[in-house]
Amino acid sequence: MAERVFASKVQKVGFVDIQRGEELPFGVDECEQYPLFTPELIALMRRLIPPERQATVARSVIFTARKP
Amino acid sequence: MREHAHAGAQPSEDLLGQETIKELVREAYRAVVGTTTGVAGRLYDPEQLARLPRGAVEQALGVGNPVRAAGLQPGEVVLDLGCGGGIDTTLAAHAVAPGGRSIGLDMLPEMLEVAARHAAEAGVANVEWMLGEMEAIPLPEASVDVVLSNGVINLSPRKSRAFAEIYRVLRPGGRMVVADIVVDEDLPPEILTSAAAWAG
Repeated sequence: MAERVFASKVQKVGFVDIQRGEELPFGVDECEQYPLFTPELIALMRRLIPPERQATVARSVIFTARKP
Repeated sequence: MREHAHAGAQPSEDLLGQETIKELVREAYRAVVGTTTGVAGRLYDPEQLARLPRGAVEQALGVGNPVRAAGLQPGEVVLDLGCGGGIDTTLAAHAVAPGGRSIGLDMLPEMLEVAARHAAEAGVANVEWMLGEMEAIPLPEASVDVVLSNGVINLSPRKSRAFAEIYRVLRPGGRMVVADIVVDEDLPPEILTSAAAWAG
C-alpha cells in the first residue's frame, strides 16, 4: 500500500492526528523472512529488481491516529 | 479463548478475490514454524526481548515495534490485531499492568493457542485471546483504549473495512498504532501479481 493511500483510508473513517513515526528500510533480505514471500518470489525479486534498489524495496512505517 | 458473533454491522457480501486472498494468508501463516530470531532482533529493544519466551521471539513476524510507539499506560485496554505468536500482546500486557488488559485477536486458532502458551510462559495473566477477523472485530463499540497492529493491515483484502472496525471499537480519544509496509515506487509486474503483492 502506498503511504498516501493508507493516510486517506484512515482519514476517511474519521481518525484525526494521523502521524508517521519510526520507519525502517525494508529490502529483499527482510521480505525473505515472511511467509507470503515464497523462495520463488524472492528469487524473482532478486532477478528483476535492480541491485541498488534491493535493500529499499519498501519501508516499514509506524502510523498513529486518534479517534476524536 | 472466546469466539464471538460479530457485535457490529453485518459484513457485506464478499468477493471471490477477497476470500482467495484471505485463504492464501491463512495457509501461509498456518505453516509458520518459528526458527529464527532475525525479525524480532531487528525490531525490539533488548529489554523487551528479555521479557519474552524464546518461542514468542522466534515467531515474531511483525514489521515494526508498535508497543514502543504506543506509550501504553497502566489501566489501559489494548487490542492487538492479528496477534500471531503473541509478542506484542504479551509486551502490551506488561505495559498496561496493573489494572489493564491486553487482547490478542487472530483468525487462526492454532496461532492463538501458541500465543496463549507464550504469554503464560512470560508470566502475564492480564491477557485474553479471541478468534476473529480484523474486518469484523468481535468486540463492542468503544471498548478499547488502544489498537495495535503489526504487519497485519496489509494482509487484509478489505483495508477500509478493517480501519472502520478499529475506529468502531476504540473509545473516544483512543488511539491506533499501526506498523506496516508502504511502497513508494512501482515494482516489476511479475512481482505485483504475486500473492504477497495481492495481500499488500
